[in-house]
Amino acid sequence: MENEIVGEVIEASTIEFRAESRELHSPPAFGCFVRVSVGAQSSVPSSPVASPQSVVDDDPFESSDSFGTFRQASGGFGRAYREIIEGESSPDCPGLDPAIFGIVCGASTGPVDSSRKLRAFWKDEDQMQEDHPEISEWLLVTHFNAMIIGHTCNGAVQHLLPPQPPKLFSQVRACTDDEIRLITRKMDFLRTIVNSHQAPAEEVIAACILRAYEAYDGDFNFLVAAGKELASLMKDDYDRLQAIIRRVSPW
Amino acid sequence: MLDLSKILSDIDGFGRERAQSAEFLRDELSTANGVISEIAEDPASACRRISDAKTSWLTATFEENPSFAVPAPKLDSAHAVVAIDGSQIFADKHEVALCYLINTSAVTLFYGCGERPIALTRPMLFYKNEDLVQSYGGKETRVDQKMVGFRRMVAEFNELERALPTLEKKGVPAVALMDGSMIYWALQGEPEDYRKWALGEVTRALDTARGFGIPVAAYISDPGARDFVNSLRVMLCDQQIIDCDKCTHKKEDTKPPCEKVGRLKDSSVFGSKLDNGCRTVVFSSKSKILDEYGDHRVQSFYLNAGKEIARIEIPAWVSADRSMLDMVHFVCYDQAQKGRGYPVVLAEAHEHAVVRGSERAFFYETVQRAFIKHGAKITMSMKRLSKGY
Repeated sequence: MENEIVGEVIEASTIEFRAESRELHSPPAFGCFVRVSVGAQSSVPSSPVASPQSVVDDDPFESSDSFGTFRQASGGFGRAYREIIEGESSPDCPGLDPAIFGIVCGASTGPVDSSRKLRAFWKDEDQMQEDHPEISEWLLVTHFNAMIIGHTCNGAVQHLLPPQPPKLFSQVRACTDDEIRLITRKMDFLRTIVNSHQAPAEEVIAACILRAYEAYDGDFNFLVAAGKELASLMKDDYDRLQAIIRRVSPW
Repeated sequence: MLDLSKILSDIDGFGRERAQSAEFLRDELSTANGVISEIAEDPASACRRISDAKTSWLTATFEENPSFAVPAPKLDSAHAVVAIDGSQIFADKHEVALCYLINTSAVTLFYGCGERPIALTRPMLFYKNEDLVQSYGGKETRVDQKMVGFRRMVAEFNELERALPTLEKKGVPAVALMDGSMIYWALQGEPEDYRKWALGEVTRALDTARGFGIPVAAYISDPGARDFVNSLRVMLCDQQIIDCDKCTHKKEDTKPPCEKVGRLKDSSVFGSKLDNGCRTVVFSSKSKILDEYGDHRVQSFYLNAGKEIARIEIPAWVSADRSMLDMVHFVCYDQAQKGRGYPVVLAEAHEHAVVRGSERAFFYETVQRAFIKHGAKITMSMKRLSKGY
């Protein structure tokens, strides 16, 4: 499945990027997973210090198969989730192109030129489009921000900030369900969000968990795995944890 | 540095003076309305009196009763409006290099036909010797702000000419709007060959518009024109033969009756006479430069655009065609409503054409980089350097 182009990067750092939405008023949904391709010449080099395997091996707090632990605890995953973690190189999930992954953590629409203050017209939407075609054509712009949660290295997802920020004017694409499942194979991205101070973390976590839950075709085991990760990350902040769990609970 | 405290009393006096003149204006307006009522009794003979008068100021003549007000016509069909505007970076001898830039814009908005709006801009750089030194009337003149202004005016009409075929192809009735007056009286003082060149460009664009059946109108916000008030002054004149040079009041040092409305502007007179959306009858100007406009002699009317009285100038072939005149009337009023008092299409054309201070600085920075790249010498005046920006 092709990734849909949703925007173009106009500001970037190694922790977040800001993009102009392709569609006015319709940025990718809050909590959406997005990717920015990294060009061949600027592809993220494999780091001798932080190759995917070395991260796992060198981390004394991480088991070599953290999902194995979840699997046992939760009593077995559903089919979709199992496919992704057990069949990494299945036809649905080929190796990933060099890319930086982010989660949409905010969006806004406003005037292109900040010196042009907008005022209400008090007209309905159809009348507005009829009387003021110029407004949607060139006066307004929608932007969205994404916090970076990882990047690819040698075709695999690494939950590390990229060595370089995304290039300006790179296309931002929505991640496919396959990509989302690959990104969320490990729950390390949740730590990045929990520790982020750029957006209301509870909201971003809840929204991205729900988006990933969709990508797993509503496999409840994913929610359980995510919940356990959050319980571990927020063990000293029960109220905040509860707030997230209440938001993502399907009942 | 401005020490405002030193002129505070002047500012106070300014305010007081303006408050007093508001009272005078009320009296003058009442006099003006009286004269307009007199004209209404026999507009033809009043117009003859105005045409025959030799005045030191320009007057407006009319074929219909000037106290008539024409309500805004309705237009339910799809239509398009194109607006042309321009802006410039003047040549500045204190800058990196002597050159100037003109940026024109053409914005087209479509209504009722689903076409997407079009906005085009065209920046043009003038740096060659023939751009900076103009030879007209047997003498060479270095470019100055006035010349750049005329060049911009020509560029705007060139832009209009380019925009018209696209507009015609869309197949919807259209109106072209220009910003500011179309009566280029300042050209009067220029050499004949220069005038011919500049007005040739203007009239060629107007010929094209006429050929396509697209009326052209110039929209003047907050107009300062007094042509019609000057006509009222003629009507107030108590001289046997109306000739300002032979006015007996000058010799006798008495106050001439024409001063009874001397402070008024046309827009103040019509402000009290036009309801929202209404326009005046069409006026003709006696400006001498219009003799060189051929078929495009500019006429005008005033319009209550909702939040102000605007002056609309149109070539004679537009006013001669009632459907075109109605179309201009409707579009100007409708555009002003959509733009909260000023035509939205003109506001957009301005926004696309305007060169902001930061863009000007970036332009000169880019010129500087090009000079350095090619090893050209950069000279900056000491004055420019001392300003440290």
